Amino acid sequence: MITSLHNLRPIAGSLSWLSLLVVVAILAPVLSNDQPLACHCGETWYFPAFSPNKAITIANEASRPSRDIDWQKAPCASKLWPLLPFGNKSYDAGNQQDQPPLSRNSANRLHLLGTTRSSQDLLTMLIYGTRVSLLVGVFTALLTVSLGVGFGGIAGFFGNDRLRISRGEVIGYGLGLFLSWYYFFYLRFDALENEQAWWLLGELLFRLLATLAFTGGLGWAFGKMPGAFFGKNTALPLDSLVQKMMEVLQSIPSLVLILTVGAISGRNLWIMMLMLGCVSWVGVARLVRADVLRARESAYMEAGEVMGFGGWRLLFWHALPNALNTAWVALAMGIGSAITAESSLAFLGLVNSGNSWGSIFGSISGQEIISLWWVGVFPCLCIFFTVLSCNHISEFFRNRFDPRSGN
Amino acid sequence: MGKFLRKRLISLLITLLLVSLVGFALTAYPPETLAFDKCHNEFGDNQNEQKCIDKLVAELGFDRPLFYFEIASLAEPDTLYKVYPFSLRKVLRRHALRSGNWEAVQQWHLSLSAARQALRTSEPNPAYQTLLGAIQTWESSLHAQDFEAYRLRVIELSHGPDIPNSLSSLMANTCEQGKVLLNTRQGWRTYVPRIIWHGTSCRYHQWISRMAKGDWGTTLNHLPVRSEIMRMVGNSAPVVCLGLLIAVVLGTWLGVASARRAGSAFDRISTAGVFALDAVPVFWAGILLLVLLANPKGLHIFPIGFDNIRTHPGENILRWVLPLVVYSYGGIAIVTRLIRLQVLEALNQDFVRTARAKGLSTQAVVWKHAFRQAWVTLATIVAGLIPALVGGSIIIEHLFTIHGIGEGLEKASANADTSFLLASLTLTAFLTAVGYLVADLLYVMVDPRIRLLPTRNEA
Repeated sequence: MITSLHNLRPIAGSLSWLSLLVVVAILAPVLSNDQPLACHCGETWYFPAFSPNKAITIANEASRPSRDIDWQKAPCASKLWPLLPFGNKSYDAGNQQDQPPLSRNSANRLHLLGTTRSSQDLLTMLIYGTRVSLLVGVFTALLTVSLGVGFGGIAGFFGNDRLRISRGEVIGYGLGLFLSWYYFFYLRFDALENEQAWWLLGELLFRLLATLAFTGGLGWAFGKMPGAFFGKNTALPLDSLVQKMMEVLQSIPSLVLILTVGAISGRNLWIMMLMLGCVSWVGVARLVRADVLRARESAYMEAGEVMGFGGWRLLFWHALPNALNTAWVALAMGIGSAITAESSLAFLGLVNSGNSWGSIFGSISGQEIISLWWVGVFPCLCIFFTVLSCNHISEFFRNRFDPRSGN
Repeated sequence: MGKFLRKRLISLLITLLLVSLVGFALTAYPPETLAFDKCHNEFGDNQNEQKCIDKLVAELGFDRPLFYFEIASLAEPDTLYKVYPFSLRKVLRRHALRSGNWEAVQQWHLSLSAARQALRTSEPNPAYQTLLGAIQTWESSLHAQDFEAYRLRVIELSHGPDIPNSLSSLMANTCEQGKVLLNTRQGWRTYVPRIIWHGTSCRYHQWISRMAKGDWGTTLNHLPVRSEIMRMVGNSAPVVCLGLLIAVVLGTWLGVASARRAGSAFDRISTAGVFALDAVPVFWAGILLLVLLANPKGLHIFPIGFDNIRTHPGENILRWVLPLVVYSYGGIAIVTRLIRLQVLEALNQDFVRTARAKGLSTQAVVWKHAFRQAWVTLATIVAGLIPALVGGSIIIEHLFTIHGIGEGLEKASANADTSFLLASLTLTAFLTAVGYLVADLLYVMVDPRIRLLPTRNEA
């Protein structure tokens, strides 16, 4: 797909902006921190920025976690501060609220982009906000694209009559799904509450695996049942099912849906990302379905069939690669639109996303924006350039893959 | 055509049914603290508060079964749905599933409730508070071991010096019931699934039949949802429709103009401009315009606010400018891009070349031949923009203080007003589905090559 870096020159700007964001997101605690990167206190060297939870004893004081120590006043011989010596969540003692760009705080430290209503350094918040916004964009886009490729691929490849299984298997799988739901989920409905995230994930994974094994086993067993009744072949109308699902999702207004779920589930960021992913795969699936349908008609697919390749092998190794271009375009597009959606919701205060770019911007009211213009302009510039870069990259790939649609 | 239409209409009905199921399932269990808080704020004393909660619960149908049927365990009773709040329902279901003996669970919980009520109504005493806390943990304890441990703790506390004899004996009764519950477990019943048939008295049936009759429920403030939505849509509609019209007209013109001069400076500038517009978040554009052009301290050209839009529509035409600009720029970007592609593709095709060769003017070729396909695109775009008519204007109405449907949705979401949210979700879905149906019909009418129904061999 990407033959050489030279070919990417038209989108070099967009790519470098996105790479910069990734680097900033990864290096955020090093770029901006209210604890020094390294300091020499007493006889030892400490690296508080890298180990904020480590208990440290300095100058006859009681041992405390390093994040609780006021490092600005700590009696240390040499301190190496990050580029921006301001904290992300904590309150910096010397800061004042609503300071314009290029002002200095009482410790004579420069606020490059000013401070916010809550006396935090704006650039620091933007740097940490990069993490949230990129997470939202990438996670949602990945979810969208994988759902779209999965459903679109299955619908296009198997159509309505290409996946044939015996009636016994249909009964077995159905029964297996019902019983798994009843025994692994319904009867244990309360075991997923008030637990740690990793525990929850493990429990869910375990239940899904159990469901898979149980359903598969039952399907296999019923498939082996003798007799004409169980042996009769039936075609699964996968295409119709997926099409119906897409039609339903397309009719539901996604914003109203997200608002509704947000109201019920308490504005959780993860739930919002899941919802965004679940409602926006339809467009991708439609394109992927068309790609796979086209591939399905091609000669090499026929050759594969003649050579006796299984359906799944044909799907994954021969049909789906044709949809890869569509997937790349949709991924780039999806990152941008997810970031926009998240910032819009955060701006309205309808999702709790910590400090994403949108929520920094939404923390001031419409009237205050006139006097505090920097709080409005800089986060929005970040959003604008990111979305523009994503759109640019996706447009570039779309033209590259499908020269007909371009200039 | 008739067969196609009939088939399409049936499909539309199924889609709407599925949409209503999805929406209903999502809003089935709203946070119950909302109803409690609301009643607590309205009424100070306990008795009226309980009455208010009961009324609200009956109004919202929380004491009815959810759906026509229910898959449950043999251990559960038929009428667990009558229990409110939801958290208590969950606790009871948990105990029923653990012990398998619903009779014992019921006896135990009734006596526990009686004891708790007695503790609550007597005068405040720190010992009572400790006992109440112990009862609470006992009630929600999960495993048999914990259950026994908490039971012993409650026994110990209820024999404390500050507890009068009458209460002690009540508690002793409860603890005895708890012991019975532990000793009469019928675990096997839990593992037998069964179907409970509820029939048409269920919440879903009530809601959907009322919805079909035009009664869309009441908001949390006891106002009919229907008139609320109508009022809000009335406030939004003028701006939204005008914005849409501007987007379609301007976008079409721009798209066609740049397609005709493909590759020229005009085309390149308009494409780049449209591209940049597409990336501007609505809230940023809105705020920027507000700060620059509606700033009381600076340039104050455009006044803001749409309180009297319907009574005096023409009174202050300047009020319309900023919302319309913000509303339409995104649409302009979408329409321009799609129309440009569509027309560009059409201009390279044989039938256009033929038309040109026949000596038709460029205008006629573009608008009559090349644009024919684009009508379908436009219809699809407009159908796809219908959700925006209802939901997409939230930010714009937030910024420009228009008291429309977007603002209503924002407030409903903040208050978890499920009947309002559910009604608007279903209605928007209905409008969208109808819009796509119309677009499909247009598609068929415009392009005679399209087969109405897929043939058997077509996937």
